[in-house]
Amino acid sequence: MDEKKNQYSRRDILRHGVWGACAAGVAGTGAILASKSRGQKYVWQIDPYKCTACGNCATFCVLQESAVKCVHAYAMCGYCDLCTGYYRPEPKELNTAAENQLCPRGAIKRTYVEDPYFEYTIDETKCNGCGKCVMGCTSFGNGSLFLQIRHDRCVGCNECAIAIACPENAIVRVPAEEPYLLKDRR
Amino acid sequence: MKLTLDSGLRQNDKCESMNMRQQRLKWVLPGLLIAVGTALFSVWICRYQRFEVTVRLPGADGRPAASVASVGGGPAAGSLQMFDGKPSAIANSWPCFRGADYDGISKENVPLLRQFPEGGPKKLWQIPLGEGYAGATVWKGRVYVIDYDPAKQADAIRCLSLEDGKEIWRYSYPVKIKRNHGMSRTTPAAADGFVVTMGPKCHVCCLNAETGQFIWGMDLVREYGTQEPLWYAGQCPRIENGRAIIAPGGKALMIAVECATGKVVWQTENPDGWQMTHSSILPMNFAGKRMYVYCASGGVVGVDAENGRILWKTDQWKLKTNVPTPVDCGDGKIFFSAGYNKGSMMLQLKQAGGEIVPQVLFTLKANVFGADQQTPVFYQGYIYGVRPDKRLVCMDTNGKILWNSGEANTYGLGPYMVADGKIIVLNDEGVLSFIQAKSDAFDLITQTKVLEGHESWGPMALVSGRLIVRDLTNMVCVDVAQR
Repeated sequence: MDEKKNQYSRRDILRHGVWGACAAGVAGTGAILASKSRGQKYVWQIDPYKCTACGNCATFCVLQESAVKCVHAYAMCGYCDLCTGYYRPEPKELNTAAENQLCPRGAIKRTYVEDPYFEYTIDETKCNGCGKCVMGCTSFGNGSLFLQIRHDRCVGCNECAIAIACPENAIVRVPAEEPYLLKDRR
Repeated sequence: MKLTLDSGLRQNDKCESMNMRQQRLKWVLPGLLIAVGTALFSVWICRYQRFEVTVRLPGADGRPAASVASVGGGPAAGSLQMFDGKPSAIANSWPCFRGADYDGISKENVPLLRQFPEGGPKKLWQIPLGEGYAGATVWKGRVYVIDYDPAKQADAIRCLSLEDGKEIWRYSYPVKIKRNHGMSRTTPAAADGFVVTMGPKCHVCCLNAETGQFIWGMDLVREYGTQEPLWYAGQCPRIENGRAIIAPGGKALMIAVECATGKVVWQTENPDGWQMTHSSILPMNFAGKRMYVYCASGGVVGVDAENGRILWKTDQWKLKTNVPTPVDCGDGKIFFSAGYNKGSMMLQLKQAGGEIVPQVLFTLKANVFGADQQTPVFYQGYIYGVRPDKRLVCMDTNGKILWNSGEANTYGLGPYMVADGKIIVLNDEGVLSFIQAKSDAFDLITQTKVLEGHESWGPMALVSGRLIVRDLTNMVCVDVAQR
């Protein structure tokens, strides 16, 4: 009788086996998730060489003020008096009057350096990422102005709205350790 | 009966006054609502909303009120250095920007290579230059180039041997300039024993083409009130009948200067105050008249070559930063193109009542045809040029695009010309391509890299199969003849 009590029936073995397998599965999944969470994180970023400055970044970002901003690769800039990223086509005069400027928000500051050079800096608090300046700079200038997702603003949506709206598939996942795709002289 | 009538009338009056009251009441409520709404809106606007208006006015960049027009003594303050180079015996020439006929076509009967050898065509010589895009001129075995010497801070007019690139003489005059997308960017004109140059700061210099001796010089900014173009002067001078033809803008739209003496033979009035662009003068004939066509900042002008009188002008084509030169397409047709999204335009000159009248035939958007920097070539009835999308295109004179070189064959801002029935194109990185100059299809014959540097934008010169090309800092002569 005792002998029979100590013996496991096939049903017991099956029952314990199923529980064991479930536990192992849960533990394994947990371990995998834990290891993944310890691995590399990714964030969204704009590939400046694919971007066509279509303007979608300004309107499709879920934030009221887009997380996309214009940035400037100073090493590529010609510091020109007639900057096609700063001035609208055929400006009346080369001065800082609103009617001559391309940026609708006056987000680019132009500063005289020395004859014949001018420096152009972006005021990110005013920039909405419309890309008008980028278009001008890329089409006729050195291409030193370009758009980037600023990670102090980006909320890191799982499904980035501007990535969906981008006609050039220029918005890509990049390692969080290197969250910016910068331009250089190629 | 009367009583009844009176009471009826009173009744009517009562009804009318009630109606009026109701009418008034009908307007009171909405009026009241509007007034309260406006008041609430005003309170909300004034109390809780802030509109920050930034005024953007001229002068916020800190630009100085006026810059110094010109520094240094100009060409007259220059000095001549002699070297041991010897002119080549090759007699043929490429005497100015776009060649002897100002059309970018070599008329020499020299067959060119159909297949570049491995490693590219034979390099005959190479010389380093200051940063720039200035092209070469060839005359009587000599190569002329206007260079900038940053160490000495001087424009340097250099005469080299076509044979081996060795320097024969150099005339330098002091000018302080800084790199601004290169420094020198014009091609000299050489003819009748003279060489005439235009420096980055609008200094015109005339030298003896053989000895390098200074003959005369001009500072256009100082003498004519020329506004120095952005990124320095790009206008290449012309020499015709012993006269240098220059378009200063400012006080004179165009001038003819006797090369031998420096005497101004005629000057064209400039009532509209048009200024100099990067474009060069196109000499052409129409209705038995020799004329000089120039794209100034405010429009285009046709000037009588004899006396400088304005024959016609139009403001239908104007761009301060215009670079390409007008193209003579025959029968009074002139083709204009430019960068900065300007596109292109075909003008037809007509005679009416003894006057010459320009008429616009068509305009094209830049994505159809718009040469940014180099001047298109009109060859055997078709116009060839590179568009802003970097593709080489062939177009007829009605503005119909016949072919483009496609996404796989792009050329950027590099120069192009025609020789031996081939379009010779250099791309931004110094890759040289020969393409069949025909209207039915794009047909790449052969291509190879001939320059190592970047921005190989300087206009080319071709003499007896010797092709002179340059990038930002080097000039190279390669042999492209089929020998």
